[in-house]
Amino acid sequence: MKCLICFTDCDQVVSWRSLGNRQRLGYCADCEPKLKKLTGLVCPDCGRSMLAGEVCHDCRERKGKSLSYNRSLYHYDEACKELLALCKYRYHYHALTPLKREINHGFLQHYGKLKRVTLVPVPVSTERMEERLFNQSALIASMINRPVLALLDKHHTEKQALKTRKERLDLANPFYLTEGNPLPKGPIVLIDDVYTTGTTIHHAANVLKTAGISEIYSFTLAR
Amino acid sequence: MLKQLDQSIRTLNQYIDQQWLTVKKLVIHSFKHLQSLSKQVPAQVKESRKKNSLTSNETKQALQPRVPLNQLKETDDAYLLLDGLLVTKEQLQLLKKQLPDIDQVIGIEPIPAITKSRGVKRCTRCLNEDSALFLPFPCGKCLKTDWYCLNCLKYERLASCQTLFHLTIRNHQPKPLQTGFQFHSTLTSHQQQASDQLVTAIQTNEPHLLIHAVCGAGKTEMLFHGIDCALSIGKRVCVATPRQDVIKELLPRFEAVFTDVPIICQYGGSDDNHKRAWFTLCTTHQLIRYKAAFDVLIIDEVDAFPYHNDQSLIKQSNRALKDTGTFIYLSATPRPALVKKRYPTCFVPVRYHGYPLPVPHPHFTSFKHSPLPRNVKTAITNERKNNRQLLIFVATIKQAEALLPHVQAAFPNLTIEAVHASSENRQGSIDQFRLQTIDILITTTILERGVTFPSVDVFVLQADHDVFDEAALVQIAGRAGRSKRDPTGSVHFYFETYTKAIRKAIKAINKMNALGERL
Repeated sequence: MKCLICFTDCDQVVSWRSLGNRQRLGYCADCEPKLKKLTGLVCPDCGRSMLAGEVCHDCRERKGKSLSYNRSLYHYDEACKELLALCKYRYHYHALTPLKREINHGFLQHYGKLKRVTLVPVPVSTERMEERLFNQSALIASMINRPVLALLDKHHTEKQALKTRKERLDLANPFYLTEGNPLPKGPIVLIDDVYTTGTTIHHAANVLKTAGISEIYSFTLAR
Repeated sequence: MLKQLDQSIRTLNQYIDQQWLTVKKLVIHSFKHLQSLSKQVPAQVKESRKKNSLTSNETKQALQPRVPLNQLKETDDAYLLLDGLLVTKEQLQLLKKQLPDIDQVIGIEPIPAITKSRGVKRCTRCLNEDSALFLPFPCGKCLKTDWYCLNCLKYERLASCQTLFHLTIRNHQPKPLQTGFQFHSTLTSHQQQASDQLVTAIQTNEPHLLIHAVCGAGKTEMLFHGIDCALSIGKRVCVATPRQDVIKELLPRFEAVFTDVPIICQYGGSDDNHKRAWFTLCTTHQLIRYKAAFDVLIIDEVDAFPYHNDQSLIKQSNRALKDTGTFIYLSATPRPALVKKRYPTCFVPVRYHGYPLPVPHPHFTSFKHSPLPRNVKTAITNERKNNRQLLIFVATIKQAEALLPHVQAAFPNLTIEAVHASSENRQGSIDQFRLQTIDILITTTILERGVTFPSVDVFVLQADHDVFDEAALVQIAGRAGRSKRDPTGSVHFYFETYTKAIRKAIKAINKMNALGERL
């Protein structure tokens, strides 16, 4: 078995369980990213960790919400940033694969009770797709045990990470509905890798809302 | 990570702007040149050409290939040095922006990124064939399952639906260089012999040469004449070594000798990584960018980790050399696998100052109770009397960090530092040790070879660890007594078991000394 971060052989304890284990991908003990799960009280709107569980400053200022609420799995700290950068900017498709069970479990904790859920990954533009050859949101969505439907498309814009907070908030909506897809009847959960200002997710939610979907939630890997 | 990315994009943009300006100048220059040429061409020919091509732009393009390469003068290096480069599609587009008529001067050969033959996948860039290092993923562009190579992911992801481009110059003529050779000190007779052999090997295009010289024999000095000869007959030279610290130390020495040649130094995190030159210094990892690019490839310390056991690195370095090129191996401790190949060998068993190599003293010591046993402590206090600096080698990073507070506590009035591959101020500490502001330096095997400190004693703690194989121990022992002023130094090995490696290393050093005495 090779470690997915340092690409060297990692020591593996041979046991009955490891013999039956088909999964060949994992991190070695030194590289295992120290991700912190979001536990305890959170902002009921955006899922940010709040001490008293009140609505956070950003969510209070936001007007005309079409998103019901967002929930996230991990803190967006250095370890998480590094791992996501490895996946998104070094184009390492399998960087997140060992977290599959944890992500699926985390999703079910928040949205397990919703019936007839459809997952909609936040899209990337064709230009970015040609560069990266995969969509990291679709990758996360594929780890969750629910049907996935690519409802949205995106015009090409600059990378979010290179923009300041103000620039991000003032952005025009880059998303539009893909033609020829029948709209699902149940609630929709938008999937993305990270929620920082929330602009992306709210833009996507607005498009879905105008298309006529009433219940929209979102789930991101990091917050 | 994001900040770094942002910064690198900014520097790239600046670089593109600069290049764009120079290219603009070139285009204006060559256009004027063409105009003057077209005036000389007889009127009839001119008329017939006018019929064929109407706009001035087209005549310019049609005429371009007819201008011989050496008439492009100063800036032609920009084209000539592209020879033998392996680039991805994005890099090629960048180059095309910088050099608009790249298509006419340079042959561009597309190669699929990952080839598959008899079920074995092979990455064309890093030549890795380990199936565990290829991972499948659903490609969003071609909507198929593609593979990507993990071995060279740190250079940029390469998936099987992408292509690599190999740039070659079609009719390449050697371009002699003025080297500004500044090397006046005389070589010893042994060094001279090796140097002469190197020069003849380069002149007669011999495919291989192994220079086997003991630690401190002055290997770098032997190279100067050979490299000067190669550059002055228009050959492209590369000196590569597996270690970053070694290449950083070599750069100023070469710059002092070859004053008129621009030298670039490539290693992970260097500013020179996107530049190209006639004389390249690089780590062996950086050879991944080249295919059939160099006429002379010199690998210093061939037996060092990770080069000696990484098949893909060995293949990459073979690929970087032209078919007619000369491959020169330099080592103080060549591995049996290399010796077995029976390449023409040049053997130098004496140090440049003529004194024998210091023979290590073995000591049985228990490390059970403390990382700094009592006899090591007394040895350090004794050592302080002879005014030499002290290098303490340990096996692992953890051990180095554990040992540092113990030594600091035992000798509070000395400055003591520890360096290892992941320490933040690695280069700074090494420089300070060289300036003699640090008395004791605790290090892992990163300083085992290629570095020169004038007057040091060497201790190896836990010399029975797997990291210290025969080659490493011989190299470590070779750090002592390298200068003419202080040609003797003491080397002590401390260990719990007398391993084969220790025995063999001591034997090898004694053998070298015996051979050196006989000469």
